[in-house]
Amino acid sequence: MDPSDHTGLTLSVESLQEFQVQEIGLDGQETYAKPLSMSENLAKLAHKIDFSEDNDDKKGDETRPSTSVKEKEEKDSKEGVGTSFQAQQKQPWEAVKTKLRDALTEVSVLYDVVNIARMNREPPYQYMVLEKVSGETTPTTNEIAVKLLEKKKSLEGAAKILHAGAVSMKHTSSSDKKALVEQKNFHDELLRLRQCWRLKRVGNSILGDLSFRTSGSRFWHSGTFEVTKTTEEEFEAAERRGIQPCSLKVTVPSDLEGTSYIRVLIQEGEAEIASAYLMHSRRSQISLDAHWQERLEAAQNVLFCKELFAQLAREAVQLKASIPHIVVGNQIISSIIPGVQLVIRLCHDANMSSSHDVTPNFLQAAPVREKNANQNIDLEQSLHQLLRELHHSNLNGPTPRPVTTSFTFNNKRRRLAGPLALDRREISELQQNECVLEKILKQSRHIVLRDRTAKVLDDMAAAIQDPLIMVHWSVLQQPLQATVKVFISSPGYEHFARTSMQLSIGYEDIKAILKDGRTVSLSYQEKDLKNLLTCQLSEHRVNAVFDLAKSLRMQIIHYNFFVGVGPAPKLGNSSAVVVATPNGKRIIAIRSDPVEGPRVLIQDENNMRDKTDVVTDSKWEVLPSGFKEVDMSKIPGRNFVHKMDLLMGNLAHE
Amino acid sequence: MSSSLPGNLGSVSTTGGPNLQEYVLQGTILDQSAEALVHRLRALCDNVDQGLETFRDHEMVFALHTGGQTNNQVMLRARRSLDQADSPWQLRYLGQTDLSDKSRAVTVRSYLDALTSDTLPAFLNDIGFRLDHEFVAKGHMFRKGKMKVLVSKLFKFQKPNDLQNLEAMTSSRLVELSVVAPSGSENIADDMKVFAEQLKPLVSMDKV
Repeated sequence: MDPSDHTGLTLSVESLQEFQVQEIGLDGQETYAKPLSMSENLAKLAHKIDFSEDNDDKKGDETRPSTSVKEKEEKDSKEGVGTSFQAQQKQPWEAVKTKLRDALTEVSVLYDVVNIARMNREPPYQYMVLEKVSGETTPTTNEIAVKLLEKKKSLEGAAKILHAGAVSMKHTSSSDKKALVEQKNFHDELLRLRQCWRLKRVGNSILGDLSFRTSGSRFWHSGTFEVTKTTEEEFEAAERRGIQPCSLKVTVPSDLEGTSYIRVLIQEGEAEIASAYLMHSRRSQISLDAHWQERLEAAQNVLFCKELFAQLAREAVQLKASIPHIVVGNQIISSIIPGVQLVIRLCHDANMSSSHDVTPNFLQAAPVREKNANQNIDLEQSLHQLLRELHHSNLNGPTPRPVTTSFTFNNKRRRLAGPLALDRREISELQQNECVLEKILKQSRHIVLRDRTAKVLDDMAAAIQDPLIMVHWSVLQQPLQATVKVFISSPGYEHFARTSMQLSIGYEDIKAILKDGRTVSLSYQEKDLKNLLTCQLSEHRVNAVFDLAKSLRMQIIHYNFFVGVGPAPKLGNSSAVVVATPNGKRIIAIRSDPVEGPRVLIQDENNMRDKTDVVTDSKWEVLPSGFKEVDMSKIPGRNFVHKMDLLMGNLAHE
Repeated sequence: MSSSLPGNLGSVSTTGGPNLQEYVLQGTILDQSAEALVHRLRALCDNVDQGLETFRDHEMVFALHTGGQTNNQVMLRARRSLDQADSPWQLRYLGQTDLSDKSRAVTVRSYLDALTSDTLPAFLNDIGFRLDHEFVAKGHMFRKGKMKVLVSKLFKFQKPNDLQNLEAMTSSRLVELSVVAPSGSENIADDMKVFAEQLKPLVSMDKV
């Protein structure tokens, strides 16, 4: 179009269709496709990029370097049009791609350089080293100095690190080891503890059980103790004091600390008859530093004593006795027989000295114990036993029959009470249960009786030499029963007369079974036994003479233990025997009075009668007159029976 | 006699005594495993010092029909020990399960019992009760505090009154954990549940 030519030809200039035609309608209307928005365009372009292509090309290049140049050229020429077209298409991303590739290359190179620098210090060299060509430059002295300095610095750094490491290792190894050992010890100890004591875990703490609940105790005290780990400070403190440290610590409730024992005294007025200690002398004092086993045992003992005393005190209050039992503080006083008291005392020594110097207290207590060296241990044992029996009975009752009946009928007779229609009195009898205090009272009563009996027997055996009293105590004894055999005999004549007597000592009276089968019941009073023995001695003398006379073929004219004539003895009965010599000429009469002793009388001969013719028989020649007493002290002989033996022998041969 | 007797009887309190209730948990165990359970119980229970407590009881259940409906009846249980001939008979009444509290972990039922002479079965017959069923229970008894654990095997009679020829009912044993206590003692149930937990892998005790 020429601007100069104004011929008036108008040309309409229309811009090219900007939008693509999507479709042309039947009426010729064109529908244009909507232009792509910026983001849609981006997406479209991005869709066209073939990311894998480039890599493939690269790979192809690397893997096939030997491809002939020609081939490659051909390929290139073939692809020439396509690639140019693609290059156009990829235009917006090309720059990004290039930059990324460059960056990757650079990073790779950098990595290689770093690697070479790091690994290639020593041969064999893995990488090629670029070195300056020797001769081109000579290292200056300055450079060497710098290098030296550098090396020194790095060595120093390394040394510092190594040293710090060594120090820390040294430190940690010692403390770790200690901690480890402690930890191990703790678990070992815990294992050992678990073998002896009941433990359970509550939250983070370990609790143990000292109580006797599992064996049937119903005491209120829980008896809980806590197990903890010994802290380091405590550990060190123990070491410093020279005590074997233990990594396990037990914390016992404060009221169970210390030691306690139950002291049972039998007092007659102020004097002690028997006493028993319920304590372990070895653990008379327990220190805080003691091994946990000892401490726990002591604490359990305290608990046991507490329970025992509580039980006794409760029973003492409930029991109705003619002389009421007195419970004052830690002491129970009850009367067993008039004048004799049983005192049960709970002694608790809460003093826990933490050091080892427990000896002074211990030594102080020692003389007291020595004084009671011959104390009897019955009471101590029975106190133990009785409470344990109580525990046991709490757990173990007889099986109810049939099994569906309740446990409350602990007694078979009680179960039968209904069917057998027992009356009120019988049932109340069934329900009477002996409590611990009653049992211990009975036992102490028995001990008093036994001790008194022994004392009387010993005293009399020592005081009376003629005849001899021999006492044989039975070795086997029961808590409420003891038997003793008493033999009365004369030395040298044992095979003749031997009076025996058995005493069975109960808790209320003493039963004496005499030789002739009589049973005598003696009270707790010493006098009774003394009297009985005195009478027995007196009878023994007569009995011995009787036996002796028989063996000497004397005629027994009269033999009686209960002489009704003559002066009445102050005690018991006089016994008497009258014997005649074999030839009938002499008559000997012996009368033994328990208090006065024996009297021997010999019938006097009276030959004053004149011979007459009326009485011619020779037997009338000697007529006896009155009796005359023999002074036995003038007759030689070891004892009464020996003297009688001599006397009778003499008279028989007259 | 009113038709509501079973309920009424349950609420009757024994004269002078508290209103007793039985707390029960039951389970079963096969014969083969019973020995393991007995071992477990020996470890847990109290009365094991003198060996195992065995029992052999004979129980007769009597019923009295009180109305036209068949299920309306009063049951009384007469039980005696076969081991000890001179032991008394026991008359037991077990009430219906108390369903008032669903959250309760154990069966609670009212309980009445009395020990009687050996004329009990005859007496029950005379007053109109009829024998419903009878069985012999053999087994072990354990006690743990107030709790009673019975591990028993039930036998039925082949011929009436023939104790020699008994026939086992099942090849398993009944395990019963029970406490008889005054009503309202709720912590018993918890104790029982705790105890039952300890028998868990061997026997699962539950309320019936």
